[in-house]
Amino acid sequence: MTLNDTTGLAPLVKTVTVPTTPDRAFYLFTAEMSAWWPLVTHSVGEQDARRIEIGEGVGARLVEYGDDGPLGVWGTVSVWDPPNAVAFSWHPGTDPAQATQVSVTFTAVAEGTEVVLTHTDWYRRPDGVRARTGYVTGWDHVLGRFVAASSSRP
Amino acid sequence: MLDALGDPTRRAILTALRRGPSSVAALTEHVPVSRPAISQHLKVLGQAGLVDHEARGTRHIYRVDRDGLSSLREWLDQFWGEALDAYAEHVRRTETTRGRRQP
Repeated sequence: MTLNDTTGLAPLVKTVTVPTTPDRAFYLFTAEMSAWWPLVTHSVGEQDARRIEIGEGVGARLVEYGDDGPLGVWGTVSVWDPPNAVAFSWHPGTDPAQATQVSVTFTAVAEGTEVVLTHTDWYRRPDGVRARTGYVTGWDHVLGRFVAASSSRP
Repeated sequence: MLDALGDPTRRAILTALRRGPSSVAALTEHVPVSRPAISQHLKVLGQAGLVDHEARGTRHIYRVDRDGLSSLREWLDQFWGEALDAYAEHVRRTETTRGRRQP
């Protein structure tokens, strides 16, 4: 059986619609990344990770911070086009030479803004083993946090 | 699995195999390293679950192993799904608060 691009190696595409304008959706995605990114499970430092920041503009970095400073660079911004699109290389915990690419677009729709995330060349991602370990161990913690956040709302 | 893809030659081999199953001899036309080196890289890719092979007469034909890639794809799909869900939840919470502040 051969593998073709419509199945195995096609870009990974995820879509979510959020109830706000593209301006706000872009701002909340980038400037407030630390407020929503599930750091414990989706980071290199796991329990030691404190925040993730994405700089503004092409060439700016995505950096994970712990209590004592940066824990690592996750990528570099390659497209900065607010409120339409942001794209960055993606290499948490590894050599930038092994980076894959992530792009995110923001499009106005009737219900608010459609956010489409595309991860290209994901199969080259060399950091998966480490990230996956954290993902599995932190899963219960994040689920608990979601439940707590949901039930605290009126 | 992913350490197997940290090497550019192994990525080139995988890219070549995307075009279809191939013997080691045929792979040397696409990947500029020796046959023994290609065999060694194929062994690593095989152990990582990314490449499969079958014997045809005296030759081995190598191909991309869909199951290995599927499990990585599934995991990354979950990874980004989880991140985007958390983002959407943050937007809903934030915009609801703003809506109350700015009626």
